[in-house]
Amino acid sequence: MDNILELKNINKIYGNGEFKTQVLYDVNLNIEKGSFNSIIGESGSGKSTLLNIIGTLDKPTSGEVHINNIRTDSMKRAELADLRNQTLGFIFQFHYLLPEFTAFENILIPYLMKNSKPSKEIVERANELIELVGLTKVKNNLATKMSGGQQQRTAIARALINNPAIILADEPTGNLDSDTTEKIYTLLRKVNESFGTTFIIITHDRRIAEKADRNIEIKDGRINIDILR
Amino acid sequence: MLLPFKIALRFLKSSKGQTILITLGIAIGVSVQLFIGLLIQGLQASLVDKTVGSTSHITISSAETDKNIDNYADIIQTVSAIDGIKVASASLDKTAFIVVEGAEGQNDSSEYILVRGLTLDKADTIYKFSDSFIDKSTMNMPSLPNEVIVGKEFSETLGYTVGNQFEISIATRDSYKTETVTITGIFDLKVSSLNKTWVVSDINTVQDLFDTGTIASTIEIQLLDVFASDTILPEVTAALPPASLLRAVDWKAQNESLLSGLNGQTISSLMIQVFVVISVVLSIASVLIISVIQRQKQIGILKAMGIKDGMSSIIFLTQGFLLGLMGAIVGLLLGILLIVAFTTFALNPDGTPLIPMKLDPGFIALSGAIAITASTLASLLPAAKSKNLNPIEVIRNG
Amino acid sequence: MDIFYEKFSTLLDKEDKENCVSFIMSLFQNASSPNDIVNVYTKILARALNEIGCSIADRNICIWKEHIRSSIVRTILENAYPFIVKIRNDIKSTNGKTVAVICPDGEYHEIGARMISDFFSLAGFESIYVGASTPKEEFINALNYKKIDIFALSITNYYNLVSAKKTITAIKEKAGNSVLIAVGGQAFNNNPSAVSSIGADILLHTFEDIWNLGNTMKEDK
Repeated sequence: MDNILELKNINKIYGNGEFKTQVLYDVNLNIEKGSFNSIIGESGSGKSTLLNIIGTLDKPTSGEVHINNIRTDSMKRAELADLRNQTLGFIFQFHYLLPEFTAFENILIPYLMKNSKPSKEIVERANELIELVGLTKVKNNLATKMSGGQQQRTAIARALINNPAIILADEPTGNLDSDTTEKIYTLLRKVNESFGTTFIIITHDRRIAEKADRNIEIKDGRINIDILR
Repeated sequence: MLLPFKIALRFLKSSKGQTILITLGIAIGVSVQLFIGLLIQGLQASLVDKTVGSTSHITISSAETDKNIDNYADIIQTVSAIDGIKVASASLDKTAFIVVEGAEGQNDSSEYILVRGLTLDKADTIYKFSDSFIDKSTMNMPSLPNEVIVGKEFSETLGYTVGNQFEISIATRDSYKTETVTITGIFDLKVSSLNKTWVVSDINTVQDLFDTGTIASTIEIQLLDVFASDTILPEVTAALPPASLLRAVDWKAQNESLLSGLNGQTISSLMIQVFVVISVVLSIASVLIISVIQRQKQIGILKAMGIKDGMSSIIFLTQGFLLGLMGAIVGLLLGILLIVAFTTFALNPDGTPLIPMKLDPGFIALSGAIAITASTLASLLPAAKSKNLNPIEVIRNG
Repeated sequence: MDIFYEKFSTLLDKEDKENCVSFIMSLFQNASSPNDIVNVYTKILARALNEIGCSIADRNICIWKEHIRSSIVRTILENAYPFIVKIRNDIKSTNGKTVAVICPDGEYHEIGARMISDFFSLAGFESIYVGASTPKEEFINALNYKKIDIFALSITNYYNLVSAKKTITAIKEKAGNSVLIAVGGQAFNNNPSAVSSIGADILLHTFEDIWNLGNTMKEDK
């Protein structure tokens, strides 16, 4: 299998002078295309920093990040914006929907960053995604008029609208109850299987972690354990 | 790329209270700016009108003392053709005396008068004698030889009224004579020295009375726009017969203190307007900066999803523009209402507006344009803030 | 063996607890060597649990059925103990080493661990079966009151390798290299390198591995 992501000797140091803190130490990691990966680790272990570096939101202090065999850690801001828009999908614990927009509109936003008007096909796709995440009934509700689970599912549909190759999720079920967590997991798996999307999910939730294809535990800024199901 | 506009519109819509307040803020700024601007304009126009509205704006006379203009008819014809000239009228001014009978036991005395011979139909445009008759129904402009009109104080001092005749004593070059004239009208030019000394008649009458032949002492020109004298004066000077010893002088040369007063007023009005605009700019900028902070999360996630820095700043520029547009529209309406109310309700005892203001469409449009431009400029700072926002800061801090 | 397996799996599928237990007991009564017991464990009991699937008709009660089967097997294992002791005493004296068989925190698949515990007994160890999902602090404290030579961790769900590593690290911190850490279970099928990366000393795959370990440790004595 091809690697969709390669991290080479990633180091991350915050601050400077006497107040330097090193968060990541020589992290090397390859992620296979189409795989479903979970990153676990205690708070402060550096896992979120790692995810943010993978997502090009943060830059490594040293080391290389390759997505689809293209090096990203040296890209310009505008190029990174394009890459994030087209290749990456983000799901966060706090779903960060735009509260001024409806669920449907939120889902279309990543598409509208590159296109002035939604085409017929994309509206259809948005509706299919809404169907997939089970939000048909509330699709015209403002983001603020939905439950936490519904908002998270909206965020998932939004992450999928541009058909990204990689979905990065940071505690996607962090503030959801266990039933909703199960539903979200099933949904993510379904997406993984039907679209071949690669998933990298930070989670504290064993119900999600133990079902992933691969678990990578980060401890004190290093990969502590890297296991396959 | 309609997305930034769409987002800007939704941001404004979703925080209605904030949007309404800031729009009102801009609107009040715009209306004050418009009102002050037009008030000062009106004030200056009326001041200028009162001061020089009924006088000559450009006066042609001989450069040498006591010399006259012989070919005045030709010159009037030439200068009348120049653009911007409302009217050009010849004037022959002569001094004379009248004898006032003393009261009982006192000697008769003589009073100095200025006999002004004018091209009456044209000069009336300048001096507005017929409008200032104290009784318009019984008074007329002189139409026959030896008919005159006199000022209010003159008639009151001497106890004359319309139809009365009086004698004037004229000293010509080599003789002394007395002529009788008939009063056809009494004017009130609101300047007592003029009302007291002017005896106005047709130029031909004065030429005959003083036996001067067809000459004029000055040619008086009134302009459509008094402030155009700077450009018209050279044209008038150029139109004068070459070798003549004539010269043209404009009103500004005679009213320097008025001009500096007007200038001062213009500057202070501008200052007020500028500060009003600055306060509008500052308030928009501060509200939008708060809005950027309030919406950091949304901007952060938009950036994580790949919105370009430029687009993220357009969101705030658009908000500034829209706030400016709405503020300008409301503000201009408010300002116009204020002006209409002021000119309708703040009146002189005679029913004319205290300060006549004109709704100058050019100035109104300029006010609107300034408000919109200023608002858009005010959003530059928040736009830059939004542009430079790094998504990681939002995401790391939750 | 295949014939016995067919018979047992039919009984188990019918959830016939009584006949399941008596059938296996009859096999134990005829057992004469450790391998006879081990074969019943691996080729009948473990195989039945692993291989009996879930028919489409029963798909909504899969877990229910699985749990009933597990419970039947657990009853069998409880009843196997006298036979284990008898055979061990017949062929081999104890080697004086104590092994604690544990499942790390979060690991609830205990049947494998129970079987392993019996295998250790057969191989001459004094075997203590501690139970499923025991918090690591418990092992550490146990070290204070009982001398333990081997910790055997049985890990089925690969995710529990994470907690296994924590457990092993804690044990080693406390006991240093004086205890042997043995690991085994399905979790290692795809993660052979995990044995060393979680800090274990040895991977035990089959009864033979345990038997050989028993011999080595006996020589050590």
